[in-house]
Amino acid sequence: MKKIMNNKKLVYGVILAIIVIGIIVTCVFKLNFSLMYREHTKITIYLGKDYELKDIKAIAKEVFEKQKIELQKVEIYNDTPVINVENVSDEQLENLKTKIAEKYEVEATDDLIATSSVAHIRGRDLVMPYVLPIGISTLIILAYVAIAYRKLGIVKAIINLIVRLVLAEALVLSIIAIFRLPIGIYTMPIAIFVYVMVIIATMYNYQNISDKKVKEKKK
Amino acid sequence: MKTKKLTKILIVLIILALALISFAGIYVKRNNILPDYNISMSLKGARNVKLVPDDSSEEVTYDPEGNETTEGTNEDGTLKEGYTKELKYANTQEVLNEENYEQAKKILQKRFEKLGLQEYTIAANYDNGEISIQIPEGSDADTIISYLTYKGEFTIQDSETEEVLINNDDIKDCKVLYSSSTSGLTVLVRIEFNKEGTQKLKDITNTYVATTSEDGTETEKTVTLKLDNETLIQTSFDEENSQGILQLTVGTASTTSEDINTYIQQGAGISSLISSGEMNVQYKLDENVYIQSYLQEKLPIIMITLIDVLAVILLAMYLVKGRKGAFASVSVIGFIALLLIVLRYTNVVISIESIVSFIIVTIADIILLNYVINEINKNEKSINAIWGDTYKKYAKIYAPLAIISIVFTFIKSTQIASIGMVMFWGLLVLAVYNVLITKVLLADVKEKSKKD
Repeated sequence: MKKIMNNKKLVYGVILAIIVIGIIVTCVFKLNFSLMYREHTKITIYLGKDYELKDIKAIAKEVFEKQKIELQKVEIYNDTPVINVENVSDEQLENLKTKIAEKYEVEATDDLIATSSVAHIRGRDLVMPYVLPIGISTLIILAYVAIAYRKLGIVKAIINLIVRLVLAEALVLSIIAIFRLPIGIYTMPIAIFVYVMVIIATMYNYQNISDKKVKEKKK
Repeated sequence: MKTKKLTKILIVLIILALALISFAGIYVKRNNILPDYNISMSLKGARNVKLVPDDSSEEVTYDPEGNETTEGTNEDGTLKEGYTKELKYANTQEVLNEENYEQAKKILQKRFEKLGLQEYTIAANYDNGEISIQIPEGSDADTIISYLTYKGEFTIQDSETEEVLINNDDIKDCKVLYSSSTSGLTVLVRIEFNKEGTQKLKDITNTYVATTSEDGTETEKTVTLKLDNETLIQTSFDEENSQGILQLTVGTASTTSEDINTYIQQGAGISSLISSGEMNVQYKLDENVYIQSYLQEKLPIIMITLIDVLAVILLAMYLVKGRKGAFASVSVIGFIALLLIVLRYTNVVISIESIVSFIIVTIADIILLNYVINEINKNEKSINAIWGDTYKKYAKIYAPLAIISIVFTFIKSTQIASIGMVMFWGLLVLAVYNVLITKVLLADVKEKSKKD
């Protein structure tokens, strides 16, 4: 029993340590937003010819080397690729223009490439739409727990679920912060996944305790 | 015994057919007769719009009293005495600041909500005021975009003196209404004023009336309702309006006519502009193109990874649970196939968020089947009792999933609603499918294990 308690304490200690480190990392280094969510440059290539995205990718990798890039296609005609990149210098643009012109045998004119900046999507704009549904769901679920598992102790059952949810979400966010995982399109779905799985796991746990109690009573 | 074996074979064949139909489709004359998935903007692509602060200017002539005028030049083109010419910028330097960019972003968000746009992204560059927007491609995309560059400055002015009598600060809300009559359906824009606005409107309706003098000459004092300096209507009033509500007719047409949709769109557009407030910065459209999602390139990798993970889990079920695990694995494949068909027919939006929801219900199904197999292995109860107890137990465990699914479904945002919808249909399919298909599949295995 003592060993279990010690292990529990150790687990909670590790979780809290990760959360604290996560908070420190977030404060010092800020969160690492994915390329499409941070301010970046969009390079539109008016090729006017059919192309393969993999060829454009190869050229972009040559030009921008280690920089993260994301490729897109404009409109329905397969003749205008877009390269998203964080920073672009005049030299890199010229280089890109030359390589594209060489590969597709087009003139390297100024009209071949156009750049425009894309604004940064704020973290709060990502999170805010989820606050209301998660808030309402959590309140109803807590009410449900208070009714369905009242025999386990209403306050205990509710607090336990809240603590688990808060710790799990904080842990996920801390891991994202510590390992510099990019905040982007996958962040909120992951948070939702964790939220739902923690609730299922807690309900499973409560149900098993409840079943055990019923069995013990029967015995 | 033979009948049971035949039933089991039939069930496996049904699952195989489901999987084939779901993953490959039903082709008649080279056309898949199954409805296409409704793919979200984040996975398919979106109309990318970029708004930038308007940097244009125009030369304006002022009279000696400092009022704008169009009659300040002589016949030879020179300025009249006392008149001055100045460049008037669409945006002065004072308005180009972070606070106003944030205000513009919030007003645009309000307009989207008023226009019923459920899926969009918006980001502002607070250094230069550029606003990047993504909205789903569709027949109404251009209409929506046409309302983005309006400042939303609504005024009721004296038609003669152009004195502003009412502006955006006096408005409480604005809605589109429909009223049916014998001539068809009339689309109305209903402007509701706040306390101050109501008082102002009351005064206006008493002042701006048509009067007839003793000698019979009619004089009419009118007001002009303007939106971004474009005249909506010029009118006078017949009676006092103390309700604080003003209704403008957009148009009347029969319900079957195409015009009615145009009127509804126009009404919704005007209402969204009036009710969302006035932007301090004048924006202009800098970019408007359809761009495919960058996730399209990654989607095959995501799908292959998910299929691989599922294959490993199902294989593990077979290795750990033996024959029962194998049948449960077949059942899970059938569940996924059936849910995918249901999602096609119910037109649920498929997004990254709804894929996560799909994963959650699949995990819920696997957990439930794992419990059933464990109970079968205990050899304590009949198969009906096992399923009955399992449903009772898991109804309590999965009740929060049902709560989440209902709450999320009623949220306006497409991505969030898609989580709820997939979860809702997933739970429904899970409950019905397992009792009809999986129960029969595992019942046969139960008898075998009893014999063993």
